[in-house]
Amino acid sequence: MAGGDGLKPEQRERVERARQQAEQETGLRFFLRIGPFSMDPRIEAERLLTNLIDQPHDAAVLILLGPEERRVEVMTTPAAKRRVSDTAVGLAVLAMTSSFGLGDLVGGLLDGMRQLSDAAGHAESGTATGRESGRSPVPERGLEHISGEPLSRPATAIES
Amino acid sequence: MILALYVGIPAAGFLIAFLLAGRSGKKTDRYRPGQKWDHDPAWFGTTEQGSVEAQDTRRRAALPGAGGVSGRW
Repeated sequence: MAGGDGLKPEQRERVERARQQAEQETGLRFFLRIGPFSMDPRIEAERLLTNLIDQPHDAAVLILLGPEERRVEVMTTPAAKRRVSDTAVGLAVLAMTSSFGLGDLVGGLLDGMRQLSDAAGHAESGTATGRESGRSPVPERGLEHISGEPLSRPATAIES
Repeated sequence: MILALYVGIPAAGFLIAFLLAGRSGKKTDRYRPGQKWDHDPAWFGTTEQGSVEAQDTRRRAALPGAGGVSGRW
């Protein structure tokens, strides 16, 4: 890692490119910080995120990475939480910490953002993996009488 | 001629192997877990100054209903 903020220019570029791509695909705002925590990580994440967003109902994700503390904190606004559940965030955190443990901070962040982005789905659908919630659409089928003739009218009750 | 063939070539091979081994063992500046982090905070999506200004301007303390997870390694 180079001096300054500890990242090489190409590393910054990779992370920034991934962040912008995640924002464009999901419509969520992504904020990331690599650096020490100045207070309880959860409290600090909440305080940072609530002030970074313009409106309380904005959808945003904040990732705080503390290399020296060996801790990562991911926080979602209530609007973002509807699209990225805590379970999905937990899986992303798991993937990130696996990379962080190997010393790959940038790789971990990229994996995490990709997982969060996949969980959030595209901006237009607003649901995970782009599918509508619920069942997949059932193709319309013509109804046929047992004789093979297509039914054009509702079947009448069979009289015994 | 025979000396060069049976001594020189193996010696050259050992020399090349020694040089390559020395290069691969060179210390990198890659981050290692537990290593001290003496760098400025690196922000993406905003800047350190931007985050401080946002806190000073908006002065919000909490985000009710927020979600999230933390992890350690």
